[in-house]
Amino acid sequence: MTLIEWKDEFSVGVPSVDHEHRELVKLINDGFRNFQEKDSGFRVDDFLGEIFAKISSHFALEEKVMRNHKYDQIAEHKEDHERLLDDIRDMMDVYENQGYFNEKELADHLAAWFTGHFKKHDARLHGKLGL
Amino acid sequence: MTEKRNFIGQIIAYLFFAGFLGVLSNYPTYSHTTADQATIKLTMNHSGKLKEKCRQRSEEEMAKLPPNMRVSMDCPRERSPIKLEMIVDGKEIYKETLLPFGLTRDGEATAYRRFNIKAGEHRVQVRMKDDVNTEGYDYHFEQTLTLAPSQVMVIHFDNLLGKFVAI
Amino acid sequence: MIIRSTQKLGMKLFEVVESRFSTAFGESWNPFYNLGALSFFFFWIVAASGVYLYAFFDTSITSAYTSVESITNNHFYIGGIIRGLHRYASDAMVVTMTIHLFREFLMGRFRGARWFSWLTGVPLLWLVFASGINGYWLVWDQLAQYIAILTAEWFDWLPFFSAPMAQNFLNEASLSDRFFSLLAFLHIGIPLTLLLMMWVHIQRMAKAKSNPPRGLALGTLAALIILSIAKPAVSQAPANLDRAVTDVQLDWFFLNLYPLLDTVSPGDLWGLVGFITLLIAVVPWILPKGKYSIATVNLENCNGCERCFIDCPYDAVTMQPRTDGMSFSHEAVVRTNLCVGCGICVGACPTATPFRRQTQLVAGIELAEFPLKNLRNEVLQASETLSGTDRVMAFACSECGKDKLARQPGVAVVPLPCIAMLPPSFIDFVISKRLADGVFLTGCETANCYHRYGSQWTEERIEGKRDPQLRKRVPRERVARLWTSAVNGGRVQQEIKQFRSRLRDVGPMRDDYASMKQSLSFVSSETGGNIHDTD
Repeated sequence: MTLIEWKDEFSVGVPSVDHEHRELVKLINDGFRNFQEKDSGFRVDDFLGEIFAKISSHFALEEKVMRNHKYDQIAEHKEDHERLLDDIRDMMDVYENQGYFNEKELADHLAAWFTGHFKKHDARLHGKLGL
Repeated sequence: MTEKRNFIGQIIAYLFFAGFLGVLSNYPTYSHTTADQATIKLTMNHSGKLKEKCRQRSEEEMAKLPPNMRVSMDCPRERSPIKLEMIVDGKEIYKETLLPFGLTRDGEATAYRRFNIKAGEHRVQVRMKDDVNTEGYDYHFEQTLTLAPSQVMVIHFDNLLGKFVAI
Repeated sequence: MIIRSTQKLGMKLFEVVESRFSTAFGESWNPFYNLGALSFFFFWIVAASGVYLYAFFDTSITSAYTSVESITNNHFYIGGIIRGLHRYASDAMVVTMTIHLFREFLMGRFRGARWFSWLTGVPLLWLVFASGINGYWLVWDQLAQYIAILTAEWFDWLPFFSAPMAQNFLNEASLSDRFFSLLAFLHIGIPLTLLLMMWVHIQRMAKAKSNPPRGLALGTLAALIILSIAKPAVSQAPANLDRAVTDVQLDWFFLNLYPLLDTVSPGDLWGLVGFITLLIAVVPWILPKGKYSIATVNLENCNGCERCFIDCPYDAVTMQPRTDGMSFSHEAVVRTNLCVGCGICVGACPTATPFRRQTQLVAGIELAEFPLKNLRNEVLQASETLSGTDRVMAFACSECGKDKLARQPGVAVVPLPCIAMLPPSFIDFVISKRLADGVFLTGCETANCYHRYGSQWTEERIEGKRDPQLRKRVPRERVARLWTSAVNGGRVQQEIKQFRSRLRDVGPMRDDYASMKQSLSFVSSETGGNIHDTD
């Protein structure tokens, strides 16, 4: 089962950004599949750490694109980025210190965030970039 | 984060800096010469005599040369170095051999020297030799000069007159 | 070695004096941290005042002196002050340039790729002196006469001239207008060449500071104006080549070597000056270089986000079109001949986070001989030496940090080439994983960073003003920083002690997991509800 279904509206029109969106979706889906198949190599903290790093660098790239195109809502969009990174860190800390990991919660959260952020910010960015 | 500043401290620093600039830009006064000294400047721009005379080239020598260079007279361009001396009140204060200017040493030899001496009367002699093929000096200058304090006197070699002149 | 200990002593002296000035001026206005910028500022004052003076200056030998007198005296409060600014700003430039030279030498800021900045500064010494000496010549007063004769005699030692230049100044009869016009012309040409070389000198520095902070600039300008009124720049008696110069007021900033010509020959003076110049020029190559590691890019982890490019203080990182076929438009490329191994790029990279799996901890850009894996291990090992409720993990820049911190039980020190090499994520890592109770960062003063911007950018990353930001959720009471120079070792000790006592008061980390969990599930259910909304 794929956690996040790729939708065309996830495209922003910038090849590098879209590529990373696809890679992130794949990373998340693969991670969940490994978890569900009880893959002995899968560790939640490593998985989350990798997502954290990849999402951080992805946001850095998006922010560069926004800067280059003088996007007018760069501050709001960036605020949302920072929020998600905080949420991921929260998840990591909760797992680390409580051993608590509810994969359904994580799944819902990521999926909701992905689609929510996309709908609100990335779609608008796509429109403004005019690509 | 507003920085803490002390404006009195700054004013003191600026005063110190301005004072430092103002003082060192003007003082201490430097004594280049004293009031009882005068200056003699010795100068010369002169071509030494040619070191070797012109001579006729022989038939064999002509044949060895490329066709466009076959000139019968061979005149080497190198000039003699010039020996210049100045004696004041019997004491030799300057002696130099000056080389002609240029890679082939065929230009003028130049001399310039400045001397600080006490003001007053002095017997000044200048001797110049500009020919390696002769013995002794070729040009002589001797005069009793009276120098006022801080006066600048120039002894230069006048090529037209063919002698040293003091002005 | 002798050089090492002179350097250390000299640095100490500078730091003592500089900290006094920092108290009065504040760090950012401290003239010692703005010597290059002040030199530029003085150049502009000299240039601007020079334009005015030149407009009214008469380049003929007969009227040069009177034209200068006219400028100075007819409207003293314009022309006279401008002339004063022209002279005193030139003197000031000699001062700041000289102190700058000593400072950069003592602080070793010529190592590695910084040889370029050092070497390109050497011609500036000659050009500044030439400009000033040339300028004094134009006044055609007693001082100018002195300068003219001695400079000509000095240059005549060089084999280029077919006739001695000094023959232009034999007596009044030998003076020519044409030569004088040449000097006036040179007084534009040489300063222009100086400006060009000044531009070259700041080339291999990103965001070079060539303007001092406004407060410092205004204060300095005011001081120069007041000086120009209090001690006007005036000409001495007119030149007269028929009379020898006796007493003359020298500008010792520019003319300090001239009196030597009364005792040593021109050739000897060339030897002295040539030797000093050569000695200064070869400094980067004869002094020990020190070890440093060049930055390398790992394309697998680089998506061309440009953070390293933006942060590199030496313009050693460029962005180039992608070469590995990935759909990213650009990649970071390190210009190895410009890299000094400060590691600031590593601190800027978003993939440089220790939360990643150990096997995957390779950042987009790393220092080849000091990889993040090692830093992470060092941090983990350092943590194991700590115990108690006030454990401090200290990160220090090795330029002026490491030696300041004596190892106390309860404090572990991790040295870095520059404090800004530390990715903010590491601070998050240490605190959230309870590796220490607090993180202490120390490095050079923000306005005096050995690597120019390291301390400032670390500060900005923590305050959330610069990417990558330290996550806001990291409790700031557990992050302390002190930007200070090496002479303040005692203050570092004090700050750590106080930090530890604050940590004891705050108590061990206690996350509110219940509310964290709640907010996570709350968010997911909320957005889950909205997922079908059309926005």
